[in-house]
Amino acid sequence: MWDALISSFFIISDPFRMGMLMLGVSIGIIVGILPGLGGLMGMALVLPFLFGMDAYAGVAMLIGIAAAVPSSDTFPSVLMGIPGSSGSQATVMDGYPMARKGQAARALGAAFSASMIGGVLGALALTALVPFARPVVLMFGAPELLMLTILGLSMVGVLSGNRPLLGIIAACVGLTLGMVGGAPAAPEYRWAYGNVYLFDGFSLVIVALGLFAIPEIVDLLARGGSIAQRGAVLGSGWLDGVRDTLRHKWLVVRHSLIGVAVGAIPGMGSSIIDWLNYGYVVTRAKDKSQFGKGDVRGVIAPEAANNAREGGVLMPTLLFGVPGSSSMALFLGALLIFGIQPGPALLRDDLDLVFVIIWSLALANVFGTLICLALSRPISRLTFVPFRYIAPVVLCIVILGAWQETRHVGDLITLTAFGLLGWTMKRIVMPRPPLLVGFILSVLVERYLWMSYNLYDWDWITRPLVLAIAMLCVVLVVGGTMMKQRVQVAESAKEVNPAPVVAGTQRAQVGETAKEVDRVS
Amino acid sequence: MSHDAQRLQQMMRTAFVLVVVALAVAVIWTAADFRRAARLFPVVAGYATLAICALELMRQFIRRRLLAPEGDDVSTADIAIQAEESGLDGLKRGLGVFGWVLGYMALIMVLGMPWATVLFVPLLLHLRFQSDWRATLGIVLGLLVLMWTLKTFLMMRMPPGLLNLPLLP
Repeated sequence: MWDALISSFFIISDPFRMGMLMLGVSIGIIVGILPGLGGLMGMALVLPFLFGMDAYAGVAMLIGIAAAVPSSDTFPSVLMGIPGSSGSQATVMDGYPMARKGQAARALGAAFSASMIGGVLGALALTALVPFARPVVLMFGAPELLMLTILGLSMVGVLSGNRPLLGIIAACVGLTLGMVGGAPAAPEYRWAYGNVYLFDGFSLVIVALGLFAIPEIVDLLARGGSIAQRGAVLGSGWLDGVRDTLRHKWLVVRHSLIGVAVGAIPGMGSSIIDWLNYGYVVTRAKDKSQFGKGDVRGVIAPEAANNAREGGVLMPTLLFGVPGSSSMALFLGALLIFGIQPGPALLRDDLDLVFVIIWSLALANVFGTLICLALSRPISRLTFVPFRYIAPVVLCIVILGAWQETRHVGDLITLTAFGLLGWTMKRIVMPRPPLLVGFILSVLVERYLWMSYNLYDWDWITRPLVLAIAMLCVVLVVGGTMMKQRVQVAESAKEVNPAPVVAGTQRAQVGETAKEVDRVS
Repeated sequence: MSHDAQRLQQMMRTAFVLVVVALAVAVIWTAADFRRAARLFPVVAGYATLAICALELMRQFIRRRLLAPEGDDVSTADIAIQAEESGLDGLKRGLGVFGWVLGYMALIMVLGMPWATVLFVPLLLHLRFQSDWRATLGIVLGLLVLMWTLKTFLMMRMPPGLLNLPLLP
């Protein structure tokens, strides 16, 4: 194994292959910066050029794209409150408020450094787990996958602030909207009314852009001025963000490992991992008061997990030939173009290639992050430009991103409709993240519920791993609620009776003065 | 936030919950025609939604009428709206801007993306914001270059519109 690890480093060090890796990183950064486009689009773009190419170079380029997108999609999330891709939705929650306070460079610095560490940890985890991952992944059947999706749904409580019922209602709306189109458990189109556009249901990209991008553009234009609030300064830059990441190093490690573990389960999309980690960091934090208002931990945790996820996603892809995500399906296609058969035989016959993939992942994360860090300060100055000049550009890119989904006029109508829904929800303080979580998990919950019921009747409830994940759900929900209540009680006590501290201080000051008077006299 | 703005927000929130109730009833009602496997989840989710909406309406009634008639502060893990935008004036301003976005979408559907952009950007910047014409021209040209780049190098397609007018090579 060590021989393969070293020899694969020399393989990837070839200037042409390294150039292809850098090209992939550059494409990934561009695609990530444009809202609505993601790794899937970037990979689809280069797929026709892979025929006849050296396999190692082609694989390096594809991994370069996959690794760079989760880093660069942070730019629109932090600077404009628009998710750059489905994997950076949760970053908006705290990254954007930081940008509005004039701390865009700090937020970006923290996000990119956490991304880099997360990405490298993902690659390391992939290296370490390659020999042992197979039995672990095989432990997860339909009931366990169902419980994991329910674990994702239980985060709704955490994302709902002081009104959990409003959050659950929003999640129910999301679940309902996710039911439109083909039913996962039966040959039936629900609420499509013969409209071909609705047969596949609503696109996640369009729903996310509509819910978050359009309302933000409308509100910023209506308010006037720039994204950063009047009087705010850019902040002392990205180095502060890097320091934040280093200060929260265990947070980065914890969420990177969660990203790898959840990413290794096929079907757990980047958006699920993103929200899961955001919810988890809020639940575990002692001081929750700044979440949603610009807490740097809300940026670090999802970003670290998001990049680490790529290491996890590669596990089922390489070990079983089961694509861990939609972009990995294209990656599998690329491997087949090169005549490589993914699966257990890959580890036996072509270990060099596996380690080239791992090296590419680690190097692409480092290069991608360095480029993004270099760009963070100049790009974050955009937050001080009057938004009326930025709005047409952003609106144009958002519409183009949405249009690429199916290139049907329905994309524009859906974008507008979800924009109106998101804007209304924002105005009436209905939390939008739970709606998105419900929408994302709707199909998965229904599919796994039906599969579990068909395969095991209701006996699946008693499976040990199911019970363990159920316990985790309960602990997270109950623990989160209790902690929230404790914080609220402490805050209200502070508001009602701030006197003891002040009085105590005053008493101490009076005492000091009296002592001084005594000493003088 | 002013008392009026808060009342407006509360009324709109109640209206939203009532719309969700109507949606849940419609889901349960129409799902009756589906096969069992396609019906199970919508019906379960629909009834759950109804129950939660009922709880929320009850909570709103008790809190606003009995416990704290003067206010019902809600804070959620979402990007908060600015205080100055929360009143009726802010609502009107927002709706006005949303009208512009709708207009842009309508123009795209009729004229296609490039022509719609050439028309929309100067109209928005001059009629709504009285901007400098040089900035307007720069943004329009920049957007056309961006669209051409995306079309040429990323093979992205632009919405052609009903008239399908050619502008970009």
